[in-house]
Amino acid sequence: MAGEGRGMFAFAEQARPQPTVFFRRGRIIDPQSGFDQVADLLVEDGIIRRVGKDLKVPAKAEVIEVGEKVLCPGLIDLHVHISEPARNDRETIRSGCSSAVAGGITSIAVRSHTDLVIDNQAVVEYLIAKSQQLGLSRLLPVGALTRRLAGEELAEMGDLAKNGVVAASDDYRSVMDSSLMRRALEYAAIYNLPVLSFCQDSSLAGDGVVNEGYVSTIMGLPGVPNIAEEVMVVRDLILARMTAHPIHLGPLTTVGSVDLVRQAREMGVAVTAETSPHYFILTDIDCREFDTFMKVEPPLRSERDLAAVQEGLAEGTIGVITSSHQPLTVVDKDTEFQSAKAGICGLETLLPLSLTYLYHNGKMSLGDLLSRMTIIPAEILHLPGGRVREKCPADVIIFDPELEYIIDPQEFFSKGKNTPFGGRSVKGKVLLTMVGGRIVFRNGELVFP
Amino acid sequence: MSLKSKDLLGMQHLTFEEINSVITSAKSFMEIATRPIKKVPVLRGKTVANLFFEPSTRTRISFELAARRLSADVINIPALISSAASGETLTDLAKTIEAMTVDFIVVRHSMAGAPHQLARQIKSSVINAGDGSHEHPTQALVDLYTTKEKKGYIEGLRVAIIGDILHSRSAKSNIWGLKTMGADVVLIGPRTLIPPGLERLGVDISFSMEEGLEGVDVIILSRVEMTEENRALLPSLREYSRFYCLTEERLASAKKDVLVMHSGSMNRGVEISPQVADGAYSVIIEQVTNGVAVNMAVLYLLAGGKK
Repeated sequence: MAGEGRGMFAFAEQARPQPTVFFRRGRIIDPQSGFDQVADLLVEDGIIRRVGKDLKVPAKAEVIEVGEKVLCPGLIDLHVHISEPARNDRETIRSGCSSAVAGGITSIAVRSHTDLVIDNQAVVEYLIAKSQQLGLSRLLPVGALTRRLAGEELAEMGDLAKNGVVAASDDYRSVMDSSLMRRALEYAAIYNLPVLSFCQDSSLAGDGVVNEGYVSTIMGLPGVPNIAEEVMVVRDLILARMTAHPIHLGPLTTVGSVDLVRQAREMGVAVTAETSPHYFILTDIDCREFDTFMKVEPPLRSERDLAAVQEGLAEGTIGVITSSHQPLTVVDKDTEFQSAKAGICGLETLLPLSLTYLYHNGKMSLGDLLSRMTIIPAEILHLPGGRVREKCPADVIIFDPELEYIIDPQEFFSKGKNTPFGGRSVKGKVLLTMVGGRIVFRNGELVFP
Repeated sequence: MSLKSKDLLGMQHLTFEEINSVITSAKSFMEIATRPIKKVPVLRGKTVANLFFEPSTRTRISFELAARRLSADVINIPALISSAASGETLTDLAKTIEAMTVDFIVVRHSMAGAPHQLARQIKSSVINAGDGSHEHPTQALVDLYTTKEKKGYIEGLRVAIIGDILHSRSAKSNIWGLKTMGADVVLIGPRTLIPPGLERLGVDISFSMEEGLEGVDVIILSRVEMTEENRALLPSLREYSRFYCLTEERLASAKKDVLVMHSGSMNRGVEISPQVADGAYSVIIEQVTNGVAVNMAVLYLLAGGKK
């Protein structure tokens, strides 16, 4: 195994041809160092060999003219779901990893869900082996915090860590037992395993399906109050402070959650947070016509909450943008609002939506925005990626920040077509994705070695 | 006269003029019920399907009677299971119905929004006969019609809606309809049964009968039951009736010529005392008769309003 630290399995280089690629004159952005200049980049043996102006082109290199486009680290998505092998009709490892690279995402942190519970060695090894065989995006399994996600007993986190999980999480289920959550944090700390916590008190959320308030009332649907999230955020912050083990919360969706995390960070609590594009683009009123594509968990919130999420992102309280990728089938969605499954298929829209609604809207600089999907998630998971720097893994993308197009879910590589953003015009398109020095996606098509 | 949409899905979509058209048409259809032959050929050759995903007797019979009096053919499709439970998508269901070339579909569903989702995918007219805790537009139209008949006008009246506002679809539809018609609305009930955000619709809220009924012209009661959900919201029906049952003493706070209505089946002794239910102010039985005429008016107007 190559290297130490998290992701050592996913970042172990495979026995594949490692071409020499020379990217000429691109706008290279490295969010960690703040580097943002027109320069050349040389990739050799799967790593970034050189970054600089007017570099010499090696004889054997493939030369790619980057032109006006941006060259930056490949994106790292901390919140992705796939369903293989339980529900291959929703998403397989192949369709998920294809979708990721089409979206400019070179590493996906795959979390447990009903279809896939990552609480034993066999599952972890399967995910890693299968994704490496494909050679598309890197797949970083996130182990369960509790066995079977039941919230009753600790998962074998040490064994999971040794087998290659990059973090521990029960994902969409909060561990309701506070004592168990405390022990989980203490135990995860032994293996320096970051804990990712989805914050929702299940008793306060009840059977709610939309934001509690005016919208739940006029739709006649049970609501999920903001406090269902905030109560859990508070508890997790107190536990993180007590155990002194880093915790990563989210997706955050409410004003109160953003305030709480901001205060905790000022107090020095080791907490980071994430949110997803739908929480800074859509609001609860978008559910009004009973469009099941608008059904997500936690639910879409109010205008006020949306403004707080945007502000939290801009100031850094929320350091990470994830897709919360949840691919679903027609049967899951084409049904009554209350019966429909919650979730959005998000890998291929993560970057264009973020660019359109945060960068082009003037809320964030390009470098800051990219840091939310590159270096910050890399640091949370202690990964070597997320950087455009010499000797780092050659996980890079080229995107055109000005290219406008209309989102068409039928063109997704993902099996999920469940997006409320279909038909929406966005600005910013991924043109090329390189993982470990190999071009895997280019001009709208997957590239196989 | 006609309605703008092909469907009647909720009171929140209806304009002042549309509500007035329904009231005016219903008045002319009322007369038919007094004829020896209670039938007009308005919808001859048309088919009305009653699609009931949730049991109902009153609403279904009322629609069936309305359709038959307009000479339409009626089919009843009761006890269907929801799309999620059947494994069939809502689109499959819509296409199936479409293939049967039905002109009107009257839908009752336990889940909010199901009629809306169906209506989007189908050319036939969809009438929402009650969806979850969302809307029950025809019940609100009956209540508005009855109010107009008895009081002569609606604008400026003070109307109290009492009971389980959280779960009552009729209450929600009544709020929209009454506000559109210019009435003043006060909601009365225990705080746990009054949903959030209603202030935005410009209604008053009171947790006390004595205070809330002050100067009220019309009272609309909704049914209060001890459902599974209500167990966490209400200590007991006994406690509810102790504070919110409409009794003759409490009625004294309202105006002298107050009108008492109920927008569902009564729970005597819980939300209404038998004396009030059978008393001089009560028009509860008339509401049922009016219901058939209102449903006829809705079918007629959705068909284009041509006799």
